Amino acid sequence: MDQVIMFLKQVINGVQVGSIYALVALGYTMVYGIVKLLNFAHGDFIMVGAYISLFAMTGAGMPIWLAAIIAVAGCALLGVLTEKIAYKPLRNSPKLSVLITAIAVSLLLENLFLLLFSSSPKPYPNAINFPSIDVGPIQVSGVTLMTILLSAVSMIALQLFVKKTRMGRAMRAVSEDAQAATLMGVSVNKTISLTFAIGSGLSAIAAVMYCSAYPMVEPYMGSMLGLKAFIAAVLGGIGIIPGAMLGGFVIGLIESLTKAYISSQLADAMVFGILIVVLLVKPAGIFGKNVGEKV
Amino acid sequence: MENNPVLRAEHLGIVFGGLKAVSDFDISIGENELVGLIGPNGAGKTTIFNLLTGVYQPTEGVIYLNGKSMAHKKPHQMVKEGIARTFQNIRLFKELTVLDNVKVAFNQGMKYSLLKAVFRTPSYWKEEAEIDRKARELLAVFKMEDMADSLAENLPYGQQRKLEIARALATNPKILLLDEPAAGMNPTETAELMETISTIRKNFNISILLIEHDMSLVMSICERIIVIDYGQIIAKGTPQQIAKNEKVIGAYLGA
Repeated sequence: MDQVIMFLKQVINGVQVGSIYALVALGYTMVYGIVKLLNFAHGDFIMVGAYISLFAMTGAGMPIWLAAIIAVAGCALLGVLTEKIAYKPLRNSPKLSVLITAIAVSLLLENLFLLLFSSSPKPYPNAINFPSIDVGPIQVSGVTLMTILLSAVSMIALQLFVKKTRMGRAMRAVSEDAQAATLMGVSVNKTISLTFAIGSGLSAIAAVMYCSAYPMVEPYMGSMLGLKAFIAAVLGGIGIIPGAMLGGFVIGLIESLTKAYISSQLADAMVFGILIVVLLVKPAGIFGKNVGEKV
Repeated sequence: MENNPVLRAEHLGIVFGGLKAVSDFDISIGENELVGLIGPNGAGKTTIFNLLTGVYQPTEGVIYLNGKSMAHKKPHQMVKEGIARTFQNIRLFKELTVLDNVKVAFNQGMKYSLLKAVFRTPSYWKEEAEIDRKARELLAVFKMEDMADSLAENLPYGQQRKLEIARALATNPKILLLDEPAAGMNPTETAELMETISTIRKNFNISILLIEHDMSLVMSICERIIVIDYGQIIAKGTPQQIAKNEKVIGAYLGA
């Protein structure tokens, strides 16, 4: 019985961290879907979101929900500006140039925050006073509950947005054939900006959830989180929205079960191992179609 | 009719790295006219379509839609002024449903804001319902309402061609550019297409510019024909005049 309870606890942990990965992976996958760019600065947007929400709470004394909204707005703006300044001028350049630019943006953000706020981690206030609930013998903390709930709501809202609104249709059309979309009256620039705004906004939600569970903020916190979310996106099939969600949960579960049953040191190795296996066995990901290169 | 052209371009030209792909191209299409654009392979027909729809910026000349200059306009802005097109190689949004393909093209006429979309206010529901109705009506004109929910990529070839025309019409154009609509069709499908073209001309009161290789189609439905070769106009006139034009015969037979 203890074994079962322990296992279920690990599953809940996995779902919690997995839903954070899923939120971040959504940003990767949406941006990739529309501009075919791996935005390696995406992980650092989480870090920026964490700092914004931290200062909104500790500096301006805002409640956490307001701090989260400010962080979402701030990250959305950062995402749009990054695209306009760094990526848009390179839209017709080779993919490699844009990829390198994305790495540069990532380094720039990390070092800028290092310079501004030093490398020492800042404590994150414990502001989610959600009561924990007992499911039989298992106690689920308020933060865990809130994280799972909020990511579920965000994902459903995103799905509805993409499937049922004019902006969502434009996003899907641009991601398939940008030129045909513009010839049907869709503004490609606006659609790309909106995609960056939504993806980056989701990373701010992830930031608040992540910091509530692991209450430390430092300039490099986004890089590992971003990498794992990237693996989640690749696992689900990059560019495919439900794929990113599934990938996030799978990575979260594997990580948490590895920590519990194999070794906590091996958890990261296991996750990166998955990337290698996916690339070897099904490079297009779980939901991806294997498309042969046209000759 | 020529006094108030829907589409007009003068001395239109474009140079690609020293090569004059199109030069000195004049065109004027009046309301509800059906004009054919023909020429041998590589003559520059699709390049002209790309110029007229803003995909390429002309290096020479200006395009006017309803008398308004289109200089430096982006394609999606030109769509708002009333020009729409189909593609030589079908370019539907394959992974979208038939209905969504049409709805994307209705997008530019929709107004509800981002916040209204997120919070699903009454104006969101109203506009979405309106677009849904319009899109289904449009599909009904093409007898495709039964396929509204299937993915575009699963349609048979002839239906995909029709859907492209329906999608272009959803942008509410005054002039429609059809790039080889009969390409790859069998004689029955071509006959059906000819009927479709005359129906939409009547029902939507629009002008049409048509690129086509199927001479029987061009000769039977076009009122005027423009023939180009090596990026230049070599003949203009009624189908009867064109059929007898020696330059045209020469261009096609290589004499």
